[in-house]
Amino acid sequence: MEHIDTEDIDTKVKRIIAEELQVEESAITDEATIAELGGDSLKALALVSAFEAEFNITIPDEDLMAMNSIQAAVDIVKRQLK
Amino acid sequence: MRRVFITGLGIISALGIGKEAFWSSLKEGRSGIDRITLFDASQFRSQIAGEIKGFDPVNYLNRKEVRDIDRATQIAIAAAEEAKEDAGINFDEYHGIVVGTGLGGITTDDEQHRVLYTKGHRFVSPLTIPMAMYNATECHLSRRFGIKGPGYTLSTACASGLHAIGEGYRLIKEGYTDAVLCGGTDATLSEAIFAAWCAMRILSKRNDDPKGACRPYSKDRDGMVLGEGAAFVVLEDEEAVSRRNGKIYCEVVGYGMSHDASHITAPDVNGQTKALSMALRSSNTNPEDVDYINCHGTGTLLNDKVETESIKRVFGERAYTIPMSAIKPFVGHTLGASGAIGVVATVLAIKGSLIPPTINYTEPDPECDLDYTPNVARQKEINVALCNAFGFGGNNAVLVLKKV
Repeated sequence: MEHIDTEDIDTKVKRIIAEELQVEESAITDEATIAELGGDSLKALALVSAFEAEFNITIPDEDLMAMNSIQAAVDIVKRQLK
Repeated sequence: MRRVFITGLGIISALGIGKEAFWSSLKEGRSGIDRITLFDASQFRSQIAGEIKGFDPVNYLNRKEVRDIDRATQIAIAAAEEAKEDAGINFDEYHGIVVGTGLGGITTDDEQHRVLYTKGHRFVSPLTIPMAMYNATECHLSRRFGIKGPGYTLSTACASGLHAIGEGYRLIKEGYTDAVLCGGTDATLSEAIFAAWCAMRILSKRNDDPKGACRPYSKDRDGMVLGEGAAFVVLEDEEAVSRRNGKIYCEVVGYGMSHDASHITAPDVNGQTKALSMALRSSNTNPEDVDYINCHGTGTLLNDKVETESIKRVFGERAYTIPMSAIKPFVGHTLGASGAIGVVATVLAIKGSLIPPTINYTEPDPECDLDYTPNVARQKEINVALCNAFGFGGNNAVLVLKKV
């Protein structure tokens, strides 16, 4: 797999979240939850699909359930890229 | 008040063509789910479905018609022909028709998008709209049978087929017509639509065990299995059916419906409770009089839990002693057809004094603790039965059937 540096992953994940949830990137702090940013279970699915497509990874259902904060989303993507 | 009877049944599903094939599989606990053959599903998370086997549209339509009619309508014609013949009715210009479909001719849509993107706009078929429009099925059935009275098509996702029969019941009860052909159809097993279901992560991933994949109310359930199918019934007014000496399966005595006005896909206890209560009230049925409930039972974590909770809220302690069952492990979730298929199963259960089983039940779930008639059919006289259908979008429908 091609090398993607860590900061690049953070930025890309947050950009996808901003796009999907239609919020300013500045509102996307690590601790923020998807619910706080106006998302729900369907939006979480949309995010996971977008991450899979962007990074060419497969995210298991368990990770989807555990994706309760922005930091968790970033970590899930990084884990799959390892 | 006019009384409304079910006088004809027709069905096509993964269990084959006709009610005999359907009922014998239900009785014997034989699932019709298999690996997908209609397209290459090898790259998808889920690779199984309830495909209709052995259906040749040429048995119902000429070759030109087959080319110009979407599969959802083709299978509806097969089911409707059986229902008409079973009832022995000749429809006339005053009779009615109500068709429910969740996604209409979406397979045609999918195919024509492929044509557009691979060949170009000049290759797109001028028949796309008349094939794909939601009321195409209703149009073909009306023409075929000469039904010229009240008619419409409705779409309430997975509740469509049950709403169609409920609306047919109202048309007769309120005196608009003496007979209605009503039911539901959906044939959505095309690649783009299947990919969308996979992206929702709502489908079972038990690809190595298709027949054991859909497990409503079992703790180890991991999602629903899609299916294609159609089911129709003939409803008739009491006097009309006695005038022509027609046979009667059972009576439709009540109908409940509601809207969740809540999440677009998640089920809601309040909405379902409201529809169940309305069904009982409209038919003057007490909770203790209900002998069987044909559940929506999709096999998703949320549906089965919420449906169980709703039934408990309406029936109280009585909920624990009413046998129920879900037939989606047999035919898959046929979306707009599922409620009508549920009605056919319920009618045959009443007629045969036999409750079809919820197959693939392997592990009790503390959150689903009712009597789902696990794995084996059960002999029981059924006087009053309910049939549930709950759709994405928050549409809930419940029909009450009674032995005559």
